Amino acid sequence: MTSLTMTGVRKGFAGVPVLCGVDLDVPQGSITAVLGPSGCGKTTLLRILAGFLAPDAGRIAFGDTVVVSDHRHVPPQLRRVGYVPQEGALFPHLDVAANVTFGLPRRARRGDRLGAVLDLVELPRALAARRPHELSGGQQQRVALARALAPGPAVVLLDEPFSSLDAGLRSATGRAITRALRAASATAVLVTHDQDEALSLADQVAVMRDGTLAQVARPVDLYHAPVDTAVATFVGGATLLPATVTRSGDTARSALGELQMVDPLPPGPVSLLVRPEQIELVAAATPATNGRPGVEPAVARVSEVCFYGHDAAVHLIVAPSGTQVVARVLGVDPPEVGAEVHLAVRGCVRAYAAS
Amino acid sequence: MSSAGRRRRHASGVPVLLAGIAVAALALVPLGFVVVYTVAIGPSEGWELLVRPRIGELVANTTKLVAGGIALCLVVGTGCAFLVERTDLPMRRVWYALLAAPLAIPAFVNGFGWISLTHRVEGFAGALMIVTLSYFPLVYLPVAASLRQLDPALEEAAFALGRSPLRTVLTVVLPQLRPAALGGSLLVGLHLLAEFGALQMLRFPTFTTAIYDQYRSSFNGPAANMIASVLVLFCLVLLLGELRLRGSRRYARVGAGAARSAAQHQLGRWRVPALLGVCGLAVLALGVPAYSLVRWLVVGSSTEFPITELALATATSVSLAGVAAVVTTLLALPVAWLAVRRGGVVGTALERGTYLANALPGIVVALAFVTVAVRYVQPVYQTHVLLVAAYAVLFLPRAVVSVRAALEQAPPLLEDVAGSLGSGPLATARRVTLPLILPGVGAGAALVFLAVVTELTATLLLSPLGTSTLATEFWSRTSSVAYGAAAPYALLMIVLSVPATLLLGRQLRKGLGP
Repeated sequence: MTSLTMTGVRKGFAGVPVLCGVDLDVPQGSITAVLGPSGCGKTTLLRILAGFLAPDAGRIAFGDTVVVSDHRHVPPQLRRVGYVPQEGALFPHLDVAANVTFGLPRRARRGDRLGAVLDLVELPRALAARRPHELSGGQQQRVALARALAPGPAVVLLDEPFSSLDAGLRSATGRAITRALRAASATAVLVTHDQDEALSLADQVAVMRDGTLAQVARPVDLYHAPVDTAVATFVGGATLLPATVTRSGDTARSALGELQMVDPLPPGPVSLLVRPEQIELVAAATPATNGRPGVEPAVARVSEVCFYGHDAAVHLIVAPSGTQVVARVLGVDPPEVGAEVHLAVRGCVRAYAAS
Repeated sequence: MSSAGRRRRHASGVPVLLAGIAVAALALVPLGFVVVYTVAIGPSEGWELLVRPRIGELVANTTKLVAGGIALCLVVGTGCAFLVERTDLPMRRVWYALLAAPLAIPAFVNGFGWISLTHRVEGFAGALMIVTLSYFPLVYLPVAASLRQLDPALEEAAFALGRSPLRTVLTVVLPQLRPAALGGSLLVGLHLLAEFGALQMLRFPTFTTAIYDQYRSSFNGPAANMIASVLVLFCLVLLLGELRLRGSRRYARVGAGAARSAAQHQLGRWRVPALLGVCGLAVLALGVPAYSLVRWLVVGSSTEFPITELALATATSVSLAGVAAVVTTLLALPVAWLAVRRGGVVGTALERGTYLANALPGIVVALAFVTVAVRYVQPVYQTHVLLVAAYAVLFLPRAVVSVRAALEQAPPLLEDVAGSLGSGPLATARRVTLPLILPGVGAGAALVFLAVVTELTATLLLSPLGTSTLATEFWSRTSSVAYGAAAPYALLMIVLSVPATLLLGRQLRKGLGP
């Protein structure tokens, strides 16, 4: 396994630019998720990495080996990439064993590699004689990963591998596949449009937007310190509050009161990023104890409650400004619609130049 | 950009494109011939050749036969499909197969079966009955397939909205069968325009028989060619209808078959009449020709088993069909490849170009090849090369449809995956693409093989002197009323065409059409 580096990769189709200079480093043995809405160019990026497409410009290296540069285009069969497409794309005329050992040299096909990779993807060895159509969707994806891992590839590329699975199977298969990738200490690039999937499975998330990477960061950093408000709202639930930075420079005044900012800013108008789980609900009858001393807690009315069981999204209208915010509360005791509550904001918030 | 990937794609694209264009050009020779000829002869002389009482009779006969045949096939085919798929008719599996079986009996053999028993089938009524008996499965099979794929939820929704079963059938089921039924009936129309053997035997003159007679009796080129132009016009009218349907038809997704079986209607007191109906149909379409063949084989005074002649004709038919099957399938490969992998305007246009030839009757294709060969490529006239080329043009669509379906089973993604697993282009072709498409390609070749074995019209016009095939031998014996001597040839043709019928039935069921 090696690291992966791409610099300045560009690609257009019929004059329409799809990738406009992509730079990405994937450290050896780690999983990077490329996250973006459909049509943002992430599949094109993956196909360029695999060698199915040639970029118009740019350089790609697997470790020290340059596979794409101005004068060089190593064909897919010489790149040692493992490719796991969306629907698995198992060879329908071959059984599981022949699918998994497809990329092995003829002598190695009969060896114990088959059993080893089936173990790796947590599939029973008895499945080896089955045909692809006799497998469930999740099993097909695991076989596709086993097939990609069998020849010991330099890099594993996964193109929305879980999007064709139903919700329950999806997270289980996702976790099993990342376990297998880690067990094989594989360098992997996973393309997805699902935020939860990207944040929960990857070591590093690259947010793709309009053909460039808007931000590349660890999942925690991406969620808590997005580069701009667009990335902030794309990677998770967010309320953007109009606010004014106070004279001190480290707090801002908003509909939810005066909030502590992560980084000091010069006085002036800003947008504050408040995640739903940062907003705490306090029954209006009891005085807010955990609000900042000397600051009146904001008062709000519950307009809508989406109850999910484990938690609930509470939509609130803050008096008197009418600002709408969303709070995420535990599912044990969600408020009633119409109830009046006090709001407190937990922790510091991040501010962005007002748009 | 001079990337290796792009160079590779271009390098493999151009020869395939050129090959596809060449194949489409060959397929368009007959149509081109008719158009060029009609233009060259000029309006005044053309008008003179056409405006004769004889032509009026031919127009009337052909129109009557095509309209009547389509209407009858539509009624019989749809009725049978409904009985077999949606009612509690006893022994439905048996009927399902028996009602498709008439496809295995060439129409001219069916005609022979009847005319050798009674001369009362001569003329319009007899011809209409016999072509209906021969061609109704072309409607029956796609409609039955369509009925089976219908989502029962639609009917259930209609019931839930308070519709009666009869009104549900009329307002929900029938409209959905329209594409299949119309597609099938247009196929019937094209077959009827091309039908020669049966109609000649039943002494019911249409354009096709008239062209043949003109050509044989006087080698009267202009008259035959002019009638051919009118016949092509008839075909184009039908074909335009078919193309419009094809364009709007939604193909069923793979595996979209309804999981639940649809509601079965209780026949009740209609059970016995329905059973008698399908029984009668089977007797007329299969029983009569079978009885007639067996009778002539067993008791016919002229029956003899000239083993050597039979073997020789069989060997000629089989080898001609074998060569034609290989050639046609090879020609179909670039066309199907372009249609599936390249798509777009060029791919579709080339594919449609080859279908166009399918709409032209064998007699027109043969006439075109004779004329073009005599004028421009004299050396191939009266050779097997010309005959095989005509077969290829006639049956290219069957091969293209099969190869196309096969290629769709092998999406490019699988080749990409094989590439990423270290397999080079040649190894990928050997280990992935070929194994996936071979069954379909083989089926296409088999369909062509068996169509050639029972082809009569083009074979009569184009086979070199001294070449005798099963079809030509059968024809020359029936023409001299040696029915007993003709019977063994007919039997051999039927035996050879059974596997083709099974394959064709499977394709029609999938809604592909030949």
